[in-house]
Amino acid sequence: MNLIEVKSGEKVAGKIKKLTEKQVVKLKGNRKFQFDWSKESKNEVYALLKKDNNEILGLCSIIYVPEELRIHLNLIESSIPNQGKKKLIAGIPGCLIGYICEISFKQGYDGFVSLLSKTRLVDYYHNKFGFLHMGNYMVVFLDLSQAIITKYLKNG
Amino acid sequence: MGKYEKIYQKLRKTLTDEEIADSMLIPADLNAEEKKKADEELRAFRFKLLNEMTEEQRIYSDLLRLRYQIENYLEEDFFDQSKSFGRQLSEYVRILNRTKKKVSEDLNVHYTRFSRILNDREDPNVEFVYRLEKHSGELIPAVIWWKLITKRQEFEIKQDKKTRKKEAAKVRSAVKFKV
Repeated sequence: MNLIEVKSGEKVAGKIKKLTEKQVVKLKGNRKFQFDWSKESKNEVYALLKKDNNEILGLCSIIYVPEELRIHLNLIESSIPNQGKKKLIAGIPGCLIGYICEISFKQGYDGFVSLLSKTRLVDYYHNKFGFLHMGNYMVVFLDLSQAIITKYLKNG
Repeated sequence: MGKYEKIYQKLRKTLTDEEIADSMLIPADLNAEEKKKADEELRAFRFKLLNEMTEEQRIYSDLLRLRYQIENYLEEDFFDQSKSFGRQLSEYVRILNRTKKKVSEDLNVHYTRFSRILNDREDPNVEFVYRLEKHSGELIPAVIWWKLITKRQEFEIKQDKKTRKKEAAKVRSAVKFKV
């Protein structure tokens, strides 16, 4: 996984785990996050954990849209210590997005992943991850999706 | 002001737009009509993409599906005969939409041997999995194929009481511990 400790430049070992509905509900009031993640309890929520101590570094929630063979990435957030100029670890959203792209391939959805970002921030998702504009949505699929997986999950 | 806009405005006091985007995905606050229109556009795009998918793209997608499904299985603790090397190789041949004979020729492996491997009657060697890696356009690394073999071997070593007993009888002066 491409998780880097900003201070040392060293790799950090991480793992991604699906949370149960109960675990998501328990995130209510968690001071490490800006969003109220308990509101995502009806969606599938994945946590990126630091391997050595199981600290939650980031969360994302997804919605399956099987009739369109796609996964919608609803929300992502790095924990507060990993936000902004003073973030401790870089690469958290990339690893989570890569993991969701992989699920999309496994499902037989061609790696198709959509997101609906705030307009002011859309360029970032295009420049950083290669998401394409599709109306208000942004999407990746096939080689664009695989490129995210390769960069963030399969680089040793 | 939408619920996500409130969070965004709060964050803007301490973070730049790039820092916000670098840390999280803040969804757009669309009204019902905007959302409906956006959904319709996306659905039309997705169906168009599916309809216009080339054979090359289908194979690309299916091979990655196979790769990630195998990786998923390799992470599991259990052995499953329905996910054996031969079964996965059969799925590989099916995805390519080529005959077994053609794939055996592509790999420069005798068809009889190839059939035995497909039916899990013979283990492939390292050379075979290197060829498969190359043949898959390097989408499925050799090591993933190889781990399917070692996973089965690990299962057999744990289960095979008969051979364990037979081989144990041939050992002399085994180290003994009283602890």
